[in-house]
Amino acid sequence: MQGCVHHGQMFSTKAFKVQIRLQHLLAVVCVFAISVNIASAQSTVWGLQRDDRFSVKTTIDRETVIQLADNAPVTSTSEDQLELEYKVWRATPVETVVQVRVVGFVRIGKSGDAFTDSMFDQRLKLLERIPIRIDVDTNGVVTNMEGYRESLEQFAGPDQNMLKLLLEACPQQSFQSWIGRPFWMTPTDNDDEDGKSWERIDQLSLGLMGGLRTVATCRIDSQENNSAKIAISGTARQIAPPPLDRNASPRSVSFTDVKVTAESFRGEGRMLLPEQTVDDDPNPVKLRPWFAGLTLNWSITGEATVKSGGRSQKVTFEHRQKQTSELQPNVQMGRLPFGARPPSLRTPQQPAR
Amino acid sequence: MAVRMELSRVIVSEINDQQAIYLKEVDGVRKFPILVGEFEAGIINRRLLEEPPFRPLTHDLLRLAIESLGGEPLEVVVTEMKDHIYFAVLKVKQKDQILEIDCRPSDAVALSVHFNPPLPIFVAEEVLDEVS
Repeated sequence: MQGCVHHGQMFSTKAFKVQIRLQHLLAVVCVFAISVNIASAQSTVWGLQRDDRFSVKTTIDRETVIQLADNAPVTSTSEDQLELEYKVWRATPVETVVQVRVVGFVRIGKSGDAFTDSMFDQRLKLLERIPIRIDVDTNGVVTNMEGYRESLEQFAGPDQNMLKLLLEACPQQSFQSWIGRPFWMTPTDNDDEDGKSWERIDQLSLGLMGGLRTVATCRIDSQENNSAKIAISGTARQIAPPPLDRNASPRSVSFTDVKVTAESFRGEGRMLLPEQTVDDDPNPVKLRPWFAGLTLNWSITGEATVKSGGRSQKVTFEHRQKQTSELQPNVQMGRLPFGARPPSLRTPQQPAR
Repeated sequence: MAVRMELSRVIVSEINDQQAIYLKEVDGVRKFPILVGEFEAGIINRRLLEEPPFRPLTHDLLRLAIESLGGEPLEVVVTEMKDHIYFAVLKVKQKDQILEIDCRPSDAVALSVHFNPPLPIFVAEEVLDEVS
């Protein structure tokens, strides 16, 4: 990274890899599903309680084509797998505070150990030590996040230019949006009356080239026993990159005239429906369904002018991404101080305790 | 007889260890891929995206060495294919001599993009007939 920062050629292999890495970090869509009803304990609208934990594994398949001026286009492909662990720190009917950690990262298909050949991978592994804490409201919106800057500092190591670059390429809003995805897919209070469809607004980072504001419409496609299939369609609108602040930024290149078009944005998911409330429950809580899995496909094309060293050149790009997230079977619920939950209230994913 | 080609695409895959470059006929439609190593693909990619290294890398060193020794690189030619392995030569003019230096096509193409304009790339007609 140092070489390209010093030379200001940020739209380079490494720089773009950083962008893409950040992008896929940011673009990971995580969803989870657990529906247990303990009305007598402090729990969230999803039935989560303090010390409950679950993890979500996401596989990200990417292909990016970049062409600078009249040079030959370069196609980059990769497939990564990332696992995040969520642990409930505090649970109330109006707020859920969750601690999130990266617990696994694998580069699929490459020979050798994922962590042996790249400084990037090593730094990513260090992120395990930096938990991020998020506050989630009843609509699944992350209202506060701690640990964002610390995580980027951990990733950048002693390289301050790298840190500045990460802060630019990975805005807090996108980071927050990504880390809170498990709650993001839940229907909100304001959704369609029949509960059959709902809308979610999100932000995907495109690194130094800005981002995309996506509006996803989720609709129940079919329902069977305690689960339902979800169809997702949506639109995306470009968010322009902020102008280059030459005093604050280590890079000497900037992207102008950025035009990004979302060619497609669609997906499908699986949702677990809450089980019936216990008959003798004095204070039944209306629990929301959870998603057990999600696959999102999106593709964009675009162009921009990259300015570097007094020179302006046209760059065109295409990006296709498929990401699949699955709740892992290691869900732990009903820990102290609330005790174990009745077996009848456990979802199929929930192991007996 | 050699056919003028151009570098038309670079594939950098993190999914497997083999990367590829595509050469396309300048005055025609024939094209074919050559599998290259990760390092060479990275070097070519770096050049195409115009990212100069902080310090000279191997192909920069080679270019500087040729120039410092009074050589004038002329072109690269993929001359033959044996057992699915391509062979190439780098043609360098030194004084009144034209030297043909044996090299791998991946190195030849990587070196070609280190010059501005890039060195012309040729492929022997018989090779092109066989692979395109």
